[in-house]
Amino acid sequence: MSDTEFRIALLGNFTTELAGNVLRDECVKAGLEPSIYNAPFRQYHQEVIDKNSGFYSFQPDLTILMFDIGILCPECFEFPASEDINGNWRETRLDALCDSVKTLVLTIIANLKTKIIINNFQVPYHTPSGILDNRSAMGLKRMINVLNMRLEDFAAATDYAYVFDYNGFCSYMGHDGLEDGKLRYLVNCTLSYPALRQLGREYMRYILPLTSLNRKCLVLDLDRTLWGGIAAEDGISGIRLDISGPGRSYYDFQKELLNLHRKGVLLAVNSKNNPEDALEILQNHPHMLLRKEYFSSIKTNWRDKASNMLDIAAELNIGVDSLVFFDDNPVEREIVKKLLPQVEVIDVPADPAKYCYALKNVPFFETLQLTAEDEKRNSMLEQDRIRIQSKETFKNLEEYLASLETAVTVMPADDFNMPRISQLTLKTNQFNMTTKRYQVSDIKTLLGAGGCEAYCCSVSDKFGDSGITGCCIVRSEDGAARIDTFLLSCRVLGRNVEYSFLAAVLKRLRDRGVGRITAEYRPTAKNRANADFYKKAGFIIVRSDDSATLYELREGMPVLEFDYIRVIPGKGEEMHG
Amino acid sequence: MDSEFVGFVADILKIDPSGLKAESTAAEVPEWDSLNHWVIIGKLEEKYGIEFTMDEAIDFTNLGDIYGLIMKKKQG
Repeated sequence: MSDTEFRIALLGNFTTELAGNVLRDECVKAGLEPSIYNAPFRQYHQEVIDKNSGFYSFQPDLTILMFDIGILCPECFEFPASEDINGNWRETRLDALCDSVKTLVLTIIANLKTKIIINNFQVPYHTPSGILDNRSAMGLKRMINVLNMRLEDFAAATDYAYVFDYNGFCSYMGHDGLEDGKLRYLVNCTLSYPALRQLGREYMRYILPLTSLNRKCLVLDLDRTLWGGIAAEDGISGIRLDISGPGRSYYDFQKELLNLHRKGVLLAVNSKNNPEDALEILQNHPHMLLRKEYFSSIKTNWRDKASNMLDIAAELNIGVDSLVFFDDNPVEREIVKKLLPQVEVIDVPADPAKYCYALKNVPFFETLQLTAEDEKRNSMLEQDRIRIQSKETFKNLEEYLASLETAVTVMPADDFNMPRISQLTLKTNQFNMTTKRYQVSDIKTLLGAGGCEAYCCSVSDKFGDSGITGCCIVRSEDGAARIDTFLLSCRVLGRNVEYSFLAAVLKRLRDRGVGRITAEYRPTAKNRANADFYKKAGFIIVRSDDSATLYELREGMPVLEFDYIRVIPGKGEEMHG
Repeated sequence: MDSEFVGFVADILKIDPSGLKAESTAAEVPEWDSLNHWVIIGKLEEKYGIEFTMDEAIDFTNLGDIYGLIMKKKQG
């Protein structure tokens, strides 16, 4: 028997042949020589009980149990008789269903050394009781959810059985993608052909690690892959990588890569770049999640990428067939595919917004358990991580807001945040006092002319960081200051951070000896809800007409602040003292 | 029937395209069993971006029928 041979038996209560067919294709694609056994239609029970059955003589390496709950338990899909309306009968039915699956698995294992995948059960969206389903003690959905949880507990306690989240798969495919009436009614197959194909791919998440064909290392390009733009042309401050805005897609992609790294997948870089340009970004870009030390091998040079792949494999002492390649450039992908067919090359979508999805969709990095090494790494990470759970209930809004541990970080404008500041002025409508729109070049001109300063803020709380979500532009003249622009993204409103941000800026001005500070509110169709902001903050009205209200804050006048919001000076700030 | 269509079906059945004619029926082609019939239907739906109804799928008499219906659906 060759070591690529792999035997799969399908036991189901519907026609499994089509599923077997697509699974065979997927196995062949992965380099296996599959044999598939389909238990005769609806005879899985007899097959498992009879030790001389075709199933046992087939000697599968993997057995997949696929049961359609509607066929297994048709009475559950009928409107309950009045005496059964509370659903208590379902408790009994649930126990019986769970036991029957367990018995089946235990009988197989007593007679055969095989791994077993148990498809969990699809929770239907439509139920006979409709919206009343979740008001009875044991509705249909609850029944199947509980059943699924029990199956997970059962399987997790074994080293041979795994639950495949078939229910999750059904939601992922969506009703229209899942069903094909023809196949259901003519062939007794409950899944459509495209759904079957996808199902085959999902099973590979188990089959690859079972056959040690899962991959060890993900090799990544840099430009237009880990960040937007080109390092050599755009430089560290010009590339697109941010915790908000379009640069966020690259940040999120890096987050997914970080998850893989934590799971034990090696990361490597294979990029056509000047090493110093790439390293500058890897080490110093404020939003780079994957620093140099996360990569087990870094190849930034102008050689062909296939040669780099060979070097990476040699350096990490793994086979070329353990590598997966992710590169936005289709030409590079094609070269690697041609020259090194052992490398899995991911079909990277043209749109960087879809990178995360493309990465999550590949089955190459699954493991059946974490190794001791993985666990050690994770326990270290765990110490750094703060667990967030907000279970308390709150008596009033203030108490709730205080519990959020909100912090406002105020930073002066710099090359990194200037594009975001400009974007905020261009896009913010609701909480925007003057609605003045500024391009990046406008802000540069303003700041360059002197007598003008710009700040931005990011808001964090115990749930995370909003990124840069507010900005303030101040012009000074003869010891007085005028607030030219003050705005906050609506994402962070409703928590009084606008007052803290303003107070922080005002304090900075007053510390510098500025006495009189003026501010302006210009009404638009969209910002009226915040017309009284400056008044609430402590300013007085100087004059007002249809087009604008002018406010003033004189020396010594108190400013509204909230002691539960922490104000943190940003990085650039400390330098000023 | 165009050669792309015939080649596609022959590929599923793992036979030579010359073995398929417009008059070919499942009964005449040994590889065209009931399982492969549904694989053909599924893959053709995917390839041509069409959907056969249940009635259509049971009324096919020969390969030319299937091809004709696909062309009609593509135009419609």
